[in-house]
Amino acid sequence: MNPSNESGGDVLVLDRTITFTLEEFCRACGARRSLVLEMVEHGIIELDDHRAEPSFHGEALVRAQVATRLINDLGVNMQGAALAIDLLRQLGRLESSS
Amino acid sequence: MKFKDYYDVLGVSRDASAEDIKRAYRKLARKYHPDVSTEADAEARFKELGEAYETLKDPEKRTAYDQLGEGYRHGEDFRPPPGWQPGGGDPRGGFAGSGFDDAEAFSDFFESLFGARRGARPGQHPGSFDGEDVSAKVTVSLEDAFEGATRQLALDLDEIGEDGRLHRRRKTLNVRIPRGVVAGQRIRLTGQGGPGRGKGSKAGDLYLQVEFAPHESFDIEGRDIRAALPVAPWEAVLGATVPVPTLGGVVDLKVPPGSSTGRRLRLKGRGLPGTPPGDHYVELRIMAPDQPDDATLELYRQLRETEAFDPRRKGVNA
Repeated sequence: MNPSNESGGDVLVLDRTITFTLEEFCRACGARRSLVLEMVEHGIIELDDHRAEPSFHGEALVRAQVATRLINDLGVNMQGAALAIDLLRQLGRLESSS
Repeated sequence: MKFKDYYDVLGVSRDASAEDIKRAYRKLARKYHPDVSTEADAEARFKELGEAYETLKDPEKRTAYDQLGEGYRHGEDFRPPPGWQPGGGDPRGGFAGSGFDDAEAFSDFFESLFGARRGARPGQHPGSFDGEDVSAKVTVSLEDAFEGATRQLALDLDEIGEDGRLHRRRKTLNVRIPRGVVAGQRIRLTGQGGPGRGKGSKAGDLYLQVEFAPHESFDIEGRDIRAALPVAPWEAVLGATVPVPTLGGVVDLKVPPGSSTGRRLRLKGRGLPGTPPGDHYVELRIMAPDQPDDATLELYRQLRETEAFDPRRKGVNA
């Protein structure tokens, strides 16, 4: 192993203040445009309705990445991915409140 | 290089049917998927499962694996026989999982048997490939989240060396933690994931999930801070202005007269920064003097004789 020390520039907090265009969003989550729009249809992610062009908040990217991995890795369909993400979110809330 | 018993990884016997192998893989993939699992080694287990399934679901690879692995046990030193040409098949074909980090490399063991899995994306120079996106967790203190900080982070990244083989490289990054991050939030560091290889390739991104280290005095809920505030009995009865430690420093808080244990008071905007910023909540805890002197005890005795207050009477503190 060759250790190296680098400065991690270009830091972006994926929150609601960050907006991605549809193209940027697809690239960042490694999903096709049609798959991303299907995620919107299933309520996994929401469009940023303050913009005329389809665009998304940073928080949506995290959910879209999880959905993409669940679909690719486990072969679940979009409805299954949506259900899993909702349940994971509930689990996270329960764990943080206990 | 250590031998991997892929049957053992999937928990199936050596004569398991293709259906048994698929069933075992699906069940374990659900259990160890890094987005779902709470197991500490989920990501490594999931990658190992992917390799095992990739090998055993394909009759040709399975036959080759059975022949090469005959007599080997899991964890034993392994060397492919002389003249063995890895990559006889197309290891990309029909692979069930893209992997948690997208196109993650297989282990040395797998690649010594079947060759590397990576390939160029459409339009990319042949032999080139983009680096993988990498996910990791970063634990920060509440103080760092309040003020922002730079943290050093060590990552072990897989990369293909000039010799065409997989190498693990430790990369140490100085990561700027932006002010106001909260637990569960992701930070993206562009180009700090796995390195790409070849002409026109790009490095992957690094996604950091923020976790908070436990704090000795404060609990956190979103951007709100919660803490206990000890007060003396006379401060609770008469009211007082008391100093309260917050993330931004000590601030004065007015405790209203007649406050009981459990009363919550808010210091607006004194939690983690954001839009809007969080609040700092304190919950009062009335503490008795631990070593009262005679004069204090006498005052309390007088109170006992003159004060009709009964905290256990129905309706009190309801």
